[in-house]
Amino acid sequence: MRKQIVSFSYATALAAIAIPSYALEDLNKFNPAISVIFDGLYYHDNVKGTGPELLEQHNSVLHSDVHDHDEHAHDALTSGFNVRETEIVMSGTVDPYFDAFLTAALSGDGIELEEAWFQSRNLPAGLQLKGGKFLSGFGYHNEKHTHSWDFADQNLAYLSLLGDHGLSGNGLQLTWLAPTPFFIQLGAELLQGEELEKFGAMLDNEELAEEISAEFDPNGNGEFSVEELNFDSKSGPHLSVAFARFGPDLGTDHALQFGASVAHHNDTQSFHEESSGEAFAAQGHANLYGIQAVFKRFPPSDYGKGGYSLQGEYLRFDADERATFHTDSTEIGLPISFKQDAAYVQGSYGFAPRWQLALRTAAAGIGGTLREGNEQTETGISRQHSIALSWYATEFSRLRLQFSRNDINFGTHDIDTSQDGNFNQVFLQYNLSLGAHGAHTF
Amino acid sequence: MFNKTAFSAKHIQSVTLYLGLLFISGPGFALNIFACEPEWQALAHEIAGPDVEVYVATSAQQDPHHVQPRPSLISAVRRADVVFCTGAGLEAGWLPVLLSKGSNPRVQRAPGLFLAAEQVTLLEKPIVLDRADGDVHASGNPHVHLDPRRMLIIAQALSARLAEIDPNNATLYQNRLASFSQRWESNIETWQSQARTLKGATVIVHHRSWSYLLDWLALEQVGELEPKPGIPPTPTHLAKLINVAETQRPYAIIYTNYNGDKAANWLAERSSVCALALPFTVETTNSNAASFDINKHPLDELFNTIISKLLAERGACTHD
Repeated sequence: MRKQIVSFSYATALAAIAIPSYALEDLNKFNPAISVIFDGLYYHDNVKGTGPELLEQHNSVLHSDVHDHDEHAHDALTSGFNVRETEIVMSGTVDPYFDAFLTAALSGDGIELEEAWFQSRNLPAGLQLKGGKFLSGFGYHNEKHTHSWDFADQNLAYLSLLGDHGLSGNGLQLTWLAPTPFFIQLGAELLQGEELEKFGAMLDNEELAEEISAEFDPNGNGEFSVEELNFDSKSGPHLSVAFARFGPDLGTDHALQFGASVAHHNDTQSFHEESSGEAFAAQGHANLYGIQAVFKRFPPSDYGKGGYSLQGEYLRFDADERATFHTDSTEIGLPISFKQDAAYVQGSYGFAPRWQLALRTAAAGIGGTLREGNEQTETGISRQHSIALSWYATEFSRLRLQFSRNDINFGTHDIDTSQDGNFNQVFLQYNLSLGAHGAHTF
Repeated sequence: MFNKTAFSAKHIQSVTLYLGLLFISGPGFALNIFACEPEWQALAHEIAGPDVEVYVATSAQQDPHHVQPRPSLISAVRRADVVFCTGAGLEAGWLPVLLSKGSNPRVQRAPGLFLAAEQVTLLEKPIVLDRADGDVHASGNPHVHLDPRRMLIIAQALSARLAEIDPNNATLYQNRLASFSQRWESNIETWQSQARTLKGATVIVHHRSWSYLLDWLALEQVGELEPKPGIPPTPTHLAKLINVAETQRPYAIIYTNYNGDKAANWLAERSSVCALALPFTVETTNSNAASFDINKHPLDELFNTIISKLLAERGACTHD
């Protein structure tokens, strides 16, 4: 409505100086496609609203969550009504050479740039270059936008190794699509890798130094400097990713895709507090490996009925670090190594027009071991089982009811011991897309 | 040294040129066409010949509004010289992904991208654009292929476009268009004379996918099973249509297989109107071009079937 009024007054003004009014209308056609994604939910659990926090505290060799609480507090769900990030999405063709895409998330805390990238339009030989801030092509689920998930929340496997927002960052991506009758895509990325939550996390050194002086006071004078952490800061980019995807052509009704990915981070930092009261900071490099398989049957008939999909990913994390600071100074330089796996499998079925039922099971902390010199500690497995019922009113709106049963292993984490790790979560979610018709990827 | 370098550069240049020619316009060269819907696969074969490879993205059993940009489609777009789709927003949920991920600059815009709906005038262009009206297409109704007159215009534009992209075979495309046009014009006359008795009859449709067929045969649409385009039929809306069916006495309730027959049968059972399943496009059992028999002229077959089914309906439907 407002737009119409504005156009009208411009048009009047333009008519006065005898420029044809259609000029204005034509200019509007150059505007990017804009959509706004609304996402909110009613959340309830049987642990007084601490469910999301308990999930974060599952037993893991990646302990960076200790320091992430404040930063990510705005994401945490509370019991009752939650309006999650509202996303503004803009996309369009810049010129014959580039397309561009932007996602900005609005929340009570302000505006956050989620993605802002360009992509080449006319490189030869199936090559494509992407640059800016983007979701990494690692894995399958990682590139999916929150609004195209089959569930209201991130799966536990990704949560444990990639974090709530997955693997993303500032950098460049080059992909090559083979000229074959079946799908083969190879990709390589070079990313700054400074804002990762789990795998490849880099710590806020100042904050860490303050915490060490407050809790351990190794110098006995309440002062502990960043330099004493002995982190040998490397210049970026820190993260490199490579991935390969393969998909045979199964005709119009089915699709299958396999993929494998590897990511290497050259400057991971971690901080560990041990039950003995000792603590150490370590620095080194980390690897993440992923394999995936996705099978889909497309709905043959009306409004999504009869379609189904099955997808699974297995992730493996390992890291080699060296203690750069230790409360027991004789242990500085001690080799520290980590390894931990995670996996999830999920399936969905369109059981009636516009209705979809989805099941998901995820596990974190699989085979988790932390080796510090000759000592070895192992993590236990945490599990999550979810069921989601979604109603896709149109392509632009959906409502979802989700139930999750969690069986979380806390290990030696310092938490309320009355919690045995078994708890339930219920989500009632709405997700709306206002504006341009967004096209979804496979 | 200098001379030698200059010679090699020139040599490489001519070899590259030769290889380039071999690939782009050599004697064995045939266009690789990607068709979004089966009707365009059939038309592409009519104009470009049976030997051309035409990959079709969807089958007659699928609603072209809702297709996923599966990996094999991205590969097919990668290899295509021409992408032939309906346009007008019909493929808005998937074609942009294919063009963006297909890493193929040849088909991102015209001439490599050929959209049927851009070649003809469109019906039902909305005056007010509002998603509250359901899945409306801003530029008009995209289902143009069911008007054989528009099909002819699209065929002419396609022939010209293929000649532009592949000038070496321009004569072939012109000749094939000429023979297609001659046959098609006589078909149109036959179909029109067969269907003249239908003129002015009214129908209820499942989705407004039949508008061009109705416009051509001068049939009138008096109701839609979908309360709004893209929204599945609701009991309340169907109940209202019983009244329309009784007062207007429409000729038939038209739907196609992928709509499902439930809503049409529901209404048919509660009124004196017949539910009539019509093929919406040509049959392709798979996306393999080799299985496609152009000599059977599937487009002719499509309209023959539609007309004969419409005619057979007259008096054929009796209710117990």
